[in-house]
Amino acid sequence: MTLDTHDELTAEMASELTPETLRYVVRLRANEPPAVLDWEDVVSRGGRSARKVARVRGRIVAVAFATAVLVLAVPTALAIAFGRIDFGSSDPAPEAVVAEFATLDTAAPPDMAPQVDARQTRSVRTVTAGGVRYPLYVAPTRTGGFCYQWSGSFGGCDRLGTTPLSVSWGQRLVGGHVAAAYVDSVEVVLASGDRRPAEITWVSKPIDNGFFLFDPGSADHVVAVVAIADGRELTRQQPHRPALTTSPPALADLERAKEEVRIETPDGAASILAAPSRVGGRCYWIVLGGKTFSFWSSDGCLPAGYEVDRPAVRFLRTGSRTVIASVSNDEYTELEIVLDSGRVSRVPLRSFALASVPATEGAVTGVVVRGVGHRSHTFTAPADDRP
Amino acid sequence: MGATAGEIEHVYRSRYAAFRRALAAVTGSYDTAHDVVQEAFARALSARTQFRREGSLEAWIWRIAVRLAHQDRDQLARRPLDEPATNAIAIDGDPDLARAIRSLPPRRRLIFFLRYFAGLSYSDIAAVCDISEGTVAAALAQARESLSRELEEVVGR
Repeated sequence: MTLDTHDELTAEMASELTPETLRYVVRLRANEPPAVLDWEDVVSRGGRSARKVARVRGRIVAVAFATAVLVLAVPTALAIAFGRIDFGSSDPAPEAVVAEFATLDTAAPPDMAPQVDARQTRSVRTVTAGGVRYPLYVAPTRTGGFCYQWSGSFGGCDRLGTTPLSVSWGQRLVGGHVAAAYVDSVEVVLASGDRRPAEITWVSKPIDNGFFLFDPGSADHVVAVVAIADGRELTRQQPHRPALTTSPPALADLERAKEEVRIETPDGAASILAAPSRVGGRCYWIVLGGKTFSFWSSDGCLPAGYEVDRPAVRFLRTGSRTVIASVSNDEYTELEIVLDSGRVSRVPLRSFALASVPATEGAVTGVVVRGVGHRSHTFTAPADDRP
Repeated sequence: MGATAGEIEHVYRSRYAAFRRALAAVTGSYDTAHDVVQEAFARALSARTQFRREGSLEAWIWRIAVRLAHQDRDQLARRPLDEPATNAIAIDGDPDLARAIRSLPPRRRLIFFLRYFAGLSYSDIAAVCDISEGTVAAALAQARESLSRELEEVVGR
């Protein structure tokens, strides 16, 4: 699971620069055009390069691959029962795939290692999307979750297996997983307005999740993925969820919502609210002048068992001021608000913090969240967080 | 041995902006930098079995990307090698910064961008540029001093 974070300039780096140079660096970083990630394009280009290499290497690799696909396709079909693939009787994944899964822990930062049990990686199924075949490999983690990979496309880990809906967005392809405990089906919403069911490959315990890969075709594209439970929309994800939302997170149990911190501003009250998620976990959102804002580009809720492992900061600009909202954990104690004049204001951070900076005092260029043991995260103020 | 596609995708998704930002300083535009980033990761993907894990995966991809960026720049015959490519860093209303950075020699500018715009460690920059950490430190100190001097002049006007 990936939470939306602003690009960081670490305190160590910032400390090497003079205030003048730092201010310019922060401004330049804040003024760059939006990122346009396109992993499918990378894969496509990589395929072209790989094909060149393959021609040089001859037919041996191609024959081996074709054999592997045949070996995978036939036995995995036998493991399907009652619409759910029995993980335990699925075939072991090829050694090369097992080796790849084994590196997931070594490649991750120490506190984010999924603790995957790579030896248990299974070949679950091969699906075809957009005319391309994608084998699905899945392995359990030692903490109740799983890692998965659509070979040649999306993959990821849900360390605890508690995320109700996780979506990966490609230029055209959309993929992801849903937790069987919470979700019955998935629908994709297309730009044309059509809603279509996504074919889900359900995998039995200990995975207990469904995996989907959807190709809308070249004439349309996916604008939202909706998880359905008991015939109703449980939650949804969009590729570019704006900071301003129309309502609190869909999963939030609003009857148990609590205002964690509140300040008054000339543009109305600002507050950070928290509520338990209806599927476990916890949701956070901001209200400013009666409008609702999300902390993250996902649905605003952390799945059960997941904690706020790093600070999140939102910059909300009204006509007269910038309101800064932060949610964190108890390892972080203070916000340093940096203005373009070079002035720094400090605000205590006790899991939550709100601050209001009038425009007359200058433009907010960034925030440094400081914590114990020299922990710090620096957030540059983006140009587009305007109510 | 080798890197997995998942590892490379992880670097791409978490570091795309840093790659594009730093490479824009070499290529002169964010659009071209985007293209270089895409191509660099594609080449890393197709050559991932050749990654020997002797350094970080990200540094290995950076080497590919920087080499491609320089090739791209070299192919633009209209722009001499020593001419700084700084269109991408001329932010609106901030010509002083562009001028200050333009004053840096190309290699020093690249090292400055790798450090402060891409967030690389001294050791990774050393690996990417095939120089020692001491040379990185010296280049950064010189770049900081030059920039500081240029910007102080602007402020002092």
